[in-house]
Amino acid sequence: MQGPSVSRRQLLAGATVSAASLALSATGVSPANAQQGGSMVSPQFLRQLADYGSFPLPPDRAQELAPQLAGPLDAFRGLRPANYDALAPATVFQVPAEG
Amino acid sequence: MSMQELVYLSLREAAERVRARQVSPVELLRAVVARTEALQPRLNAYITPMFDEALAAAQQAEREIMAGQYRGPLHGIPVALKDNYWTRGVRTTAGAKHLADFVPTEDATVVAKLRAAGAVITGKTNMHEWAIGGTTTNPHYGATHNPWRLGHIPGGSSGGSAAAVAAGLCYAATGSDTAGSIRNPAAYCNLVGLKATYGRVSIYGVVPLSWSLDHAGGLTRTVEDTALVLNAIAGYDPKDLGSANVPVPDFTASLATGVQGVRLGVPRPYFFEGVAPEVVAAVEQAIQVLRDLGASVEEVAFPSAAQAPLIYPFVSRPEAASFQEQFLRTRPDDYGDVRPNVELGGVILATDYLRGQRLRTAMREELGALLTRVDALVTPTVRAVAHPIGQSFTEVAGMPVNPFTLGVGLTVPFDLTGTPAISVPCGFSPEGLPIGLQIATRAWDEPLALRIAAAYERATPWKDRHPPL
Repeated sequence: MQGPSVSRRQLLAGATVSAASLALSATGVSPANAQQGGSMVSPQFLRQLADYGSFPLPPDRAQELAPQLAGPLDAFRGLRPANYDALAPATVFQVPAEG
Repeated sequence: MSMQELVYLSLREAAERVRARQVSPVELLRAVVARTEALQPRLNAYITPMFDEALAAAQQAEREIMAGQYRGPLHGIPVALKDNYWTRGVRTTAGAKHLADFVPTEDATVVAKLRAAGAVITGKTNMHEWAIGGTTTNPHYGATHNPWRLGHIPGGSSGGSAAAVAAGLCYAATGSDTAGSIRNPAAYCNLVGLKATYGRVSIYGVVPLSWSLDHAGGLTRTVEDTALVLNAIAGYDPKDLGSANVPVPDFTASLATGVQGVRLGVPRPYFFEGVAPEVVAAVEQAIQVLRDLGASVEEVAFPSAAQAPLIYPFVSRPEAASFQEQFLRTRPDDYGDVRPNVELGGVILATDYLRGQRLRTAMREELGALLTRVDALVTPTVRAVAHPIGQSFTEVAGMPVNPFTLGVGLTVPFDLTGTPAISVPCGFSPEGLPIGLQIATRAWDEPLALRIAAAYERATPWKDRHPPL
């Protein structure tokens, strides 16, 4: 379940990580729980991802978005309650009573 | 009765006078139209006034009432709509340039219900672009000003609705709440704003921001008025896949019951951190009032609420990007400053989106367990009072804040859980800007939230204060 490891030193050294650290402190997530991912989010990576999804994202926009995603991503992926594996998503498919 | 007294009647008071034929719907409408024409240049509350249609509706209501066909408390009452509610034959912009010429061919379910209740629709109110933001400083339709202090934001995204109700331009208005967009402007403008349980009020015909988080509701000057509006708009709607087929109570029924024996929880961790001292002081006084009224108060913790600002974008942004993908493709330059928020959703992985949705389940379970120990949580609604337009606070009480955590950091947990939460006025800052108290209850227990809010409102003078316009 874990992504490639990243040391705390690397975590604290990266430019994008200062934002992640802020998010971590704001949410009570310890860096030890955080999963890697944010450090891979470069503008080029986002462009490739957008191309893969046929999503309209010009290069200058990818430049702006990369730090916005990279900052919170590790902290977000570090949110893992004890019962996480048993959790269903809040959105599930419903069939209306009317059919 | 002076014009000022007439426009500041509560919805209930106006309705009683209409029912008793002491005031006609046309008189009510003329009063609010005259006031709107005087104040719109300063407030910019409306994007599209609908005064001609409103006059026709008011005249029809007058005929019906004179003929003994009184429909109920909203009959003949001027009500405004946030401009993301579809209105048949009237443009619905959602505050976006993309929809500047969008004219729906049908009404949103809530609009249809309001019309069926006899409400007189006065127009479409300004809002934050696409409802993605909390200032109502709209790049396409101008900034709405807070009636309590021109030059300050009214909150948002339902800021035009809040400004209209607070300024006496209507007796109620609709809003939508995805992260706090009903409760935040309610707090900033000395109003009552209720986000009911997800599924209680149909979102069919409300321009989507994020389907799984969008809630429709109303803003009013009193708690009873909020209950009356909810009575009119709640109910199952097969057109809305998230709508719940559950019994709809009379939301006014328990307003006078009081709070004797009600167990209130105060979650100080997170909800009282990074909050302006004047807001904390007002909320602490409010808690003491509720204690004096007979409620018991205990300290509790809702730890996952602190994660809400982190979880929210991973759920809301992909949903927004999905809805707006075609606009991003064909008219990217028509966005204002919300463009990055929408684009971000296009590069969030599906597994991360579903992680967010699973974490919502965890939040709901945690809150559900907490709300077996206590009946309701009481918190500040917003971290600080309204700030000047274009000059957001970057720090509150010594803690850094961004526009999101400042404006909706304390409200968004209850959008993620889908459970009810109401904001009720609880005082003013030293410079005269309003402060809100948030009360959150169990799913489907809007009656208790309204009951606690009503008890507090009766014991305090805030609803009787009006902005110095």
